[in-house]
Amino acid sequence: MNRNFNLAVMAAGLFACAQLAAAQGLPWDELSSAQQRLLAEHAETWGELDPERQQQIATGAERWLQMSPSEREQAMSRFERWAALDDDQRRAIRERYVEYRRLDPSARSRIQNAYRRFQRLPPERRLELQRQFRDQRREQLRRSRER
Amino acid sequence: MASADGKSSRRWGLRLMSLALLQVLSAASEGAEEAPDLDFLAYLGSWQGTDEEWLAVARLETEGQQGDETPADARREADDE
Repeated sequence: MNRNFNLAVMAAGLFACAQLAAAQGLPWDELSSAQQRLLAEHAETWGELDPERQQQIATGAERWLQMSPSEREQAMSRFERWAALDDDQRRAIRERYVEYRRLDPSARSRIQNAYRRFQRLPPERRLELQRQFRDQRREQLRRSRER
Repeated sequence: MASADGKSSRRWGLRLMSLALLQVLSAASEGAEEAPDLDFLAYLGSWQGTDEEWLAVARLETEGQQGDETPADARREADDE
């Protein structure tokens, strides 16, 4: 009982520290030298950025630095697709993404593999599958309403 | 004689300065990686995993609208495929 209480107190303390660190943002000095070089032109205004945005940019910079030229090109093309979505679409995808991340890694991997297989299909086959999928879902919905 | 020595040392001085300048320029070009836009970097860093994953989620989202499909349903679909 006592041990559980101590663990709970420690967890709450760690959570509070993490919240505090996130709220305070990420100081420029804590970026790696490679991140600083990449973001050099924003050094002066770094402190004015929202803490969450600082964290995202720092993570994004780190990922960018690890990418090969072709991976960078693909990521930029995905960003263009993302930027073309409207706010509601982006919000809906973010919400689904949170659910998706809650799945175990093997389930996530199966979803990604299924998507990759789907992407490799010829366009007409993809359209056909989408149509079948929609029909099946409609049928399932109709049956569940009848029950 | 003294004038010839002076010319020679000036020439060496110029050569050394040129070399130093070349080194500085080359170091600068190595360090200066083309910086992507901040919005792009924020996008890249906003995903818990890789940014590639949202495309599969988006597919579920657009198709799931037909019948409120969730990633758990999609997991079953992926199992079936």
